[in-house]
Amino acid sequence: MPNGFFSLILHAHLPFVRHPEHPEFLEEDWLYEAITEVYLPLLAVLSKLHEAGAHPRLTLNISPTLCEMLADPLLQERYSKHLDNLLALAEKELDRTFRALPHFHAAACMYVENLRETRRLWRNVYEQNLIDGFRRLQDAGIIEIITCGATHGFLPLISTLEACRAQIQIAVANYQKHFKRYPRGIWLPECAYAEGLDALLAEVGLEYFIADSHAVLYGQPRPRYGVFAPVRTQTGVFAFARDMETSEQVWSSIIGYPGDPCYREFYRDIGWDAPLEYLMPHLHADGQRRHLGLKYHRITGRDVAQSDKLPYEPEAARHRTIIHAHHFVEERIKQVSRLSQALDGHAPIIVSPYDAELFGHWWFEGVQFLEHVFQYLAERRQEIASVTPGDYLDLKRPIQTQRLSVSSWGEEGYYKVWLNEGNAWMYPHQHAAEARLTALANSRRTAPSDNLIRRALDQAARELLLAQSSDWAFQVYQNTTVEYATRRFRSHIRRFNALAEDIERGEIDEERLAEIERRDNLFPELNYQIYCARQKAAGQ
Amino acid sequence: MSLHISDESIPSSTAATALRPSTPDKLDDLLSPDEPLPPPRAARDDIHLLIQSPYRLFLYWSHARDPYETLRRALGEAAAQYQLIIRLFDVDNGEARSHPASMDHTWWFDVAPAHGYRAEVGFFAEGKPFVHLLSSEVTRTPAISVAPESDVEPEFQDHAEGFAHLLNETGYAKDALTVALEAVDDSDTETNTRTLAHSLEGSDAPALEDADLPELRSLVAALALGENPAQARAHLSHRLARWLDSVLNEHGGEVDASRLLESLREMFGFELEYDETFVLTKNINRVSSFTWGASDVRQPSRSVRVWMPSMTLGRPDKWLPSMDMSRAREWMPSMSVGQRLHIARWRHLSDL
Repeated sequence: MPNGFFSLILHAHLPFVRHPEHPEFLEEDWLYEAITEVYLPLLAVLSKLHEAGAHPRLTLNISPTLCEMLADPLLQERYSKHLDNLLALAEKELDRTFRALPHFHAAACMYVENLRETRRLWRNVYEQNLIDGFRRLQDAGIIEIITCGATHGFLPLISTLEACRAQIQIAVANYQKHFKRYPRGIWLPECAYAEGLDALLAEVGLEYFIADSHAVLYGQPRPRYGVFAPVRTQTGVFAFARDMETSEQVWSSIIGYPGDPCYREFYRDIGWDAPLEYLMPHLHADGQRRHLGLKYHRITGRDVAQSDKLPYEPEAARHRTIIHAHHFVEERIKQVSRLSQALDGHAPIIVSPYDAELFGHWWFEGVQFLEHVFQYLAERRQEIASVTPGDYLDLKRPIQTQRLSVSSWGEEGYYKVWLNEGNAWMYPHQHAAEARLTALANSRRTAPSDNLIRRALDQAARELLLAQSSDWAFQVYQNTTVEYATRRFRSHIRRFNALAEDIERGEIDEERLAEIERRDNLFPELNYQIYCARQKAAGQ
Repeated sequence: MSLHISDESIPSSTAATALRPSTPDKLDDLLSPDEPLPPPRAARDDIHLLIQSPYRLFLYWSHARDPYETLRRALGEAAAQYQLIIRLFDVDNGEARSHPASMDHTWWFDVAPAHGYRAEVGFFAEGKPFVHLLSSEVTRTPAISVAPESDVEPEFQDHAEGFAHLLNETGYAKDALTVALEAVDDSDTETNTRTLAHSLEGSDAPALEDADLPELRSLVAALALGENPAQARAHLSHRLARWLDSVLNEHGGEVDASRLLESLREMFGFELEYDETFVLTKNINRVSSFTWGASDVRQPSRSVRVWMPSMTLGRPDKWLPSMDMSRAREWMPSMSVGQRLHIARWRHLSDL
């Protein structure tokens, strides 16, 4: 038995962004950048580690909306074009940097090499099917994939039991479709927990979820082992709570690894630096400058102005990831040793959840770092074993029962990010739609014979799910893509209401329905009857 | 059949909707953010009291019909005396507060942690019975500290000193200090939290009961870590609020955190160590503010570690049942062990 356990959990999620009504759409780039910088590199590294005998073991949540986008033929086709375009630009950069910007040439060579490999993986190895790639990693025992809320809805702020249940059950069904098995665990969106949610998870047989540290620390009674052991809720579902120390080492731009001066600077991008006429063939049709993902500068220092950043040196950065990975693993071993004293010899589990997109997108060298972390963990497995929450539960250790505290992993630890003066206006609309959909479903418990009405009901459910995405309220609060997020929320509420009116009248605008279906085409397996209120048995 | 969804309210069955020739989008739903959604259709009266945090609740409500119209039909001219108000009840202490109902049917309440609340909407007139319209479910705000109770299952029972150490390792310094004080009180020594409280309070301080001790410890820990007394007072029970008032009166309206820390050091041998880089927390470039898809993950607002005499590299041979001042002084020189642990954990990457 090792002295302790380490559980890395990556949360891969993007909101459903798909605009077939436009030939290209800026926000779709989120997906394409993530495929290039995060998902493909992660697949490649995990496969490589496995082949080298390093036995990496980690947990990966791929949210249902992300699954649907990765499996969507239109988005796959658009990504191929995006990748070809980016590679063409990178190859032009080889010549431009060689001639005129020699201090950037090493980085330019790196991008060409990376992107050619990305294209090979995309076309030849995974054949545009990344879901299948992740599934094979799970089937080989390398990763444990867990699910998430169907559209990443913020569950504590969903007003009806039926709508909350639907987020979970639709997610589980979607997981089964993509991964051909039942999920063991779930990533609660934003790690947001409220009393009663565990009962909904238990209903569908989910074994565990991920929570923030104070969900357990402030739970009742006190957690004997703090966040360093899971707890069992009263419904039998287990909660694994986040370790703050490891979080800081990646999330913090001040003391965390990603802030190292050697690492690539996020903000300096040739999309802003290179001549506009040179870039024009590679930009969207609107000709607007944007991040293209080719960046030639390093962080250099915390207080260094963007204009003074020094050239990025790939080899130096790669070497740094080795040092940081070694440090990370050594710190975990020391942490385990310290904790063992406080835990009376009980082997702790250190749970480290992160957004997957941090590794490779924000922190460009992040995937390299993970590769080295797992290499070192393999060498030190007698002292600290890399496990998934499912692995830990399979050890059948005694686990304390507790009532968890209301919590989330968001700023200040509760619901402020998703419910505040800037976005509270959303909830009356969302809640009214939730109640209305259950009322519609209840009045049509038996599927209608009119197929149009059936389709309209299913599509109304999709619109509600899309409106419930916590990403919109989040983006409004963060003041990042406020216009887009607001427009999306309003669009889905409008579409829902229009469909609901049609259903109530019994007259469906077929052309409009078909257009809505064409655009918001996620969860084709969805059945509106999931929103029916459960009827009590006779005598109850 | 039109594919256009009107940017006015939901199209009625008889209203014709027009295509916008300038808009190529069939659904025409890429509307200006300036065009808000129409108010949601209220099929029935409804009320929601939502948690934002341990300190704030959000209320909104809706009426299927105009409540004033309903009141007028019931009371006639007498209805003019009434005003629509919202009330919030603290179901734990019975306190209530009222506000005129806002036109947009929303309200934000400042509340206390670990309390249950219920909101009501109704008509109020001086000297008349309240006309009750809507009542919410009870919403409980979360606690902001560790539970005072250990598990009754022997296998999962903790001892306060060990649990304080664990909280310290987790980065929860205030809770670690609170539970460290509990450990002192558990050890049955003469010098304990009550002793500390007596040294701080004025002559008008209320007598504190045993049931007040958990809250007192938490308050002392908060003040020692620099929490604003006015902010702390807003969430205290009556008795602790009066106690804090006596302390403030005794010390010129302030609590000197450094003097309080000195008292903790002298009485119990506690030390607090800060990593000053976290003073810059507010200036941290939060990933979520510039990277799509990045969660806005909370971080400790300040890196503080509590060092207690029991914290050594190895377990002490025996527990220290009585932490009198002489023992605290004896431990002081070995405080460097704790400091070394702290520095080793929090050293900057430049040391690598």
